[in-house]
Amino acid sequence: MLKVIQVLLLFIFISMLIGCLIMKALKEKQASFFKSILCGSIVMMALFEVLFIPMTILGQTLSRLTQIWTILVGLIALVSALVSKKLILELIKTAFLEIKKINVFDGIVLFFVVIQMVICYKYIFTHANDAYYVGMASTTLTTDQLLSYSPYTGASITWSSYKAHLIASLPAYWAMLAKIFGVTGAFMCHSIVPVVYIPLAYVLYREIGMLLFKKERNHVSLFILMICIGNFFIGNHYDTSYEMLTTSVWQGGTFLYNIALPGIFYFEFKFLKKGQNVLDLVMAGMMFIIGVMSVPKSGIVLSSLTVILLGFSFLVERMLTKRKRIDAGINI
Amino acid sequence: MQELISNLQNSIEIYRHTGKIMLLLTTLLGFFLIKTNQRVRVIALYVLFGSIILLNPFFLKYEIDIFGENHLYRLGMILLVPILSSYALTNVLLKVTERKKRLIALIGSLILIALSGRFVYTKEYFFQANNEDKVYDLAVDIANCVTATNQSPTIAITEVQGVFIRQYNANIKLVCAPKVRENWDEAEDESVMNMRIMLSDSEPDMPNLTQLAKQNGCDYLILLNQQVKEDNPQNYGFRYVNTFEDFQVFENVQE
Repeated sequence: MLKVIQVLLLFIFISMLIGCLIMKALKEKQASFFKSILCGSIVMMALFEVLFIPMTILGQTLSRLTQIWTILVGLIALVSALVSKKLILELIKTAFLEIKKINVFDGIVLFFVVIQMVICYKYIFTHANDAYYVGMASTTLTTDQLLSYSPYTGASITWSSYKAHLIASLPAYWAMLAKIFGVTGAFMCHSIVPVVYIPLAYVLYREIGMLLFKKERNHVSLFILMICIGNFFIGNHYDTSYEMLTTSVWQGGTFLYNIALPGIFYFEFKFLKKGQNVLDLVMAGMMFIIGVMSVPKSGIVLSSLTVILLGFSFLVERMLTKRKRIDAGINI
Repeated sequence: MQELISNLQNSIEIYRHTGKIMLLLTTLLGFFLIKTNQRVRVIALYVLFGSIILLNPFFLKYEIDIFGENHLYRLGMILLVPILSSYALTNVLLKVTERKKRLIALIGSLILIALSGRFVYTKEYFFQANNEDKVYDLAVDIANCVTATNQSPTIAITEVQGVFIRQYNANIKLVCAPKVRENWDEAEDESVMNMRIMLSDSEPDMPNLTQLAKQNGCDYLILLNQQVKEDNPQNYGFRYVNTFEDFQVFENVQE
C-alpha cells in the first residue's frame, strides 16, 4: 500500500505540480490535469538524462544520482506549488469536470485501457530484449554503479567502450525509480512501468487528437478508440514488431515508438502549426532527449528523422499552397 | 539495375511482416475522399516522405550501416502507424454522415485494424509467473539454487535461461552473454566462444567443457538432461546439486 502511495505521489502529484509550471509558461488556454501530468513526466525524464551522462562520466553512484534528481525534482515542484497555486486548483477542478464529460467512446476506451493495464500487471510478455533493459535496470540497482557492469554477464566494463549506451539511459531511469520505490528492477519494469506509462501514452494520444481534430471531442474519442483497438494487435512478426505499448513498454524500442516519437511529433507539429510558443519547441526538445535516451543508436537516428521529416513536410506543404495563401491574402 | 531490384525486394521483405505499414498506406487512400486542410496535407506528405526513406533501394546500404542488419526494421517506426492510420481512418469515418453507414464503416475499420496484426493477449505471448518479479519460474529456481551458498557465483548456462536469470538476480555472473544483444559488443575470448558452442551442443565434449568451465572461473555448470546422458560433469570435478525441469545443476568443487 505504501508503494502504491509513493507511485501515485510521484507520478500524479509531483508530475502534476511540475507540469503546472510548464502549462503556466506555455500559457495554455485549455490546460488540463492530465496534460500537466504528461508534461511533468517528460520534464522528470529529460532531467534524468541530463544528469545521467555527466554523472556516469564522473563515476558517480546511482544513489548519488537519485539524491540529486530527487532534490531537483522536489525543488521544481515546490517552486511550481508556490508560483501556480491558482492553476493547480483550477486543474484539479477541471479534472472532475473532464470525468463528467465522458462519452460512450471514452467509456469504451477507458474500459480497454484498464484491461490492457490489468493484463500487463498480472501477466508477463516475454521478449529477448528484456535481457538488456531489465537486466541493465537490475544490474544498475544491485551494483549501485552507472554503466560499470554488463547487463548480460555482470562483467566489469567501462562507459567509454559503450558510448551509445551512455546516452541511452532508460534502464538506469527504471533503476532509479526502483530505488526510490524500494522494489527490484524486474518488478519496476514488469509491473510499475506499464501501469504508469500505458495511461500516460493515451493522454499523449488524446493531446495529439485534440491538436489534429481542433478539440472536437467526439472526433478525438473516435481517434483514440482506433489507436486503442490497434494496440490489441501487434505486428505480424514477433521479432520485428514494435506496436508493443501494451506488452513491453519498459523496453526502449517500444518506449521510443509509442511515447517518444509521438511526443516529438506532437510538440513539433504544434509549434510549426501555431508557431507562437517557443516553449512548444522546448518540449519537443525534451521529447527528443527522451527519444535519444530510449534506444542506443536508433534512438538518435529515429528521433532526428522524425524531426526532419515533419519539418520538411510542413515546408513542402507551405511551398505547395503558397499561391493559395497569397490569393487568400494570408501573410506568409 | 539488378542490385536495385534486389535491394527493393530486401526492403519489402524486411517490412513484409509489418502489416501495420500496409494498414497506414491503405488508410491514407482515404485522404482522397475528404476535403484537405493543412493537417491532412502535412500528414500525407509525412507518410509519403517516410515511405520513400523506408523503401528506397538507394538508401538501403546506408540504412544497414547505421542500424545494423538486425535492427533495420526499426526504421519503420518513423511512420508512427498507430497514430497516423487512426487519424486517416477517423477522417474517413467522419465523412460518412448517415448513422447506419457510419456504423458499418466503423466496424469495417476495426476489422481492417485487426487484420493488420495479430491478437496479442494469448497464451503464446503472455504467461503468469509465480514470482513477484515476473521472471520465468525456472530461472528463479535456478538463481535461488546457485546463490544458496555463494552470493555472487559465476555460472554457465544455455542461451534461453541466460536471458532471464540476471533479470531476477543481478549478482549472478554469466560466462556467456546471450546472442541477441542491444548493440552491445562485449569482448569474448576464444575459450568463451568455444564454451558457447558446447553449451548449445546436445552432446557436448564433457572433458573439454568442464575444463573450459574451470578456466573461466565457473562455480556452477547448468546443463540440459539430454546433454548429460552420455557423459557427466561429476566425472570431472563437479558435484551434482539439483534438477529443475530439464536442467541439472552441477557445482565446481575443485579449488
